[in-house]
Amino acid sequence: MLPIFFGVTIPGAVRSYHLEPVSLGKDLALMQRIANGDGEAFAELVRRYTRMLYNVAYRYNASSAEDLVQESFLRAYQHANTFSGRSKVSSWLYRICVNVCLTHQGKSGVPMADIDDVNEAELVSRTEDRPDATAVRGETFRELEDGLRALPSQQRMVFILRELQGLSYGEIADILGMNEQAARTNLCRAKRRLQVWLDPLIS
Amino acid sequence: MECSEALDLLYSSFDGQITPTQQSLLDGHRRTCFACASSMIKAERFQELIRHVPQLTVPRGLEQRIINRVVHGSSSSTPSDKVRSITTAARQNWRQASAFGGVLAAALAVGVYVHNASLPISGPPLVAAVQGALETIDNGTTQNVANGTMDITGGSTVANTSINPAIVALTAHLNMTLQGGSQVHFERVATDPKTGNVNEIDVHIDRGGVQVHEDLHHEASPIKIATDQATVVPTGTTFSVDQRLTGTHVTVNKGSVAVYTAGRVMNLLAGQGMMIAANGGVLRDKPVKPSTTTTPTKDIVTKQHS
Repeated sequence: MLPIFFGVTIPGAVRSYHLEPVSLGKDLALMQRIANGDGEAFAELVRRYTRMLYNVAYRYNASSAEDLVQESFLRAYQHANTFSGRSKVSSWLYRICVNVCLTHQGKSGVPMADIDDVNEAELVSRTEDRPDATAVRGETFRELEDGLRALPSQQRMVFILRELQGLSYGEIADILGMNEQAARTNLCRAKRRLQVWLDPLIS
Repeated sequence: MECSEALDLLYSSFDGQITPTQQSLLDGHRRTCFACASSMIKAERFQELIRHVPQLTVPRGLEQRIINRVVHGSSSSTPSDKVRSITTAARQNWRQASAFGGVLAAALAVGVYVHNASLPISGPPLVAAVQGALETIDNGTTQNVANGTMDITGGSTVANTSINPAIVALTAHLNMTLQGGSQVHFERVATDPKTGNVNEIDVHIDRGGVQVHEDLHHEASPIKIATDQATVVPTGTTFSVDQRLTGTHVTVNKGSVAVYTAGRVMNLLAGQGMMIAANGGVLRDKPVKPSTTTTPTKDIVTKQHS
């Protein structure tokens, strides 16, 4: 049975490209002001992009999301003079945030699953353990979040950037330092696993 | 076409990344392979689900905390976001909270931190008893309170940093349980300067959820719990309000509550629950009793499924 969520549209849902209202020229000027120590310019950067980075960090590691975002902006502030303007500020910030997330994951001591470490049989058994009442109570999104966190880090990040932030494969490849085909492959694998994870809710 | 290729090709089709020839092959395979057809239906439902995942809102004060930390080198915050509130019009003496807390203070080892921001304070602080350990941060100074009482004023933020629930006794007959990882912000605390009675507490759930229990044998004191989507008003009851990624979940264990959201009011009875989505849409777990003073529930439900 389909969860009730499928009958509901959420027009308020926003993807990241809606959060990038500035042109590259303005971005560059803003970053130059920040590099010169302009606190107000930095505050403007924070106001523009906190939501964007928070969405990435939270989906990647909810319990540390605020710290990850703060650390990302701190690094952006410290390295503002390295922003060349060849990419969008958003892409530059994404790259910083992704690095912070991946570094944090490594430091946390949480075992990082390799790309094929989590087999589908395991995922199926885990979904079967969960109560059906969960679906009835409309927990689909929460289950999606849980499933997301069970993914290998690379797949998780590609899924977040592509499906939840709406980035192009080219941007994702640039941010993660992989080619576009690798990004597509990671996304397919992530979707397969998440689909298995959510099978009781979408059957 | 091999079955193993079909699903990946379908995923590619969601991106508009397949050629007409590939689409034709995919369609053909779908017609002849029952297993793949079933998987594809699920994949399409999954894709539809993903499409509706809402963007998260930024926690209250995060932007300012970042600016303070980076530019000013301080960890203090001055939240400037629009105030949302839980209101308790509890009128019991605040001193009774300490006594009530004395009974409570014994069990769970929890970690809670209280952060006092610079918002107006009305009257003396509310002294609340808390089970477990408290951590207070004021102007960058951290203070720990273990199984004792804490002063709550307008501007205090209380966060449960553990995975265990924590109980805060707001008055002798009213307590609030913070789920693990939850955070609430006390926007306003009004106590009578002469009697110490608690007249009003405005609290907002920043994240996570709370359960409120009010002693039904005492004077009923309407309590309003607000999230980004809704305000919940009980009439002497036990209920929970959970601020999740999907929206606000309200469950009533005893008594009843009224849920105010987007200009509408709906009554929930014990055993009922509902979810208010991020866009204000309402999903019911169980039938909702229509309010006699507001928009009929039927209209609300119809709107949500349109």
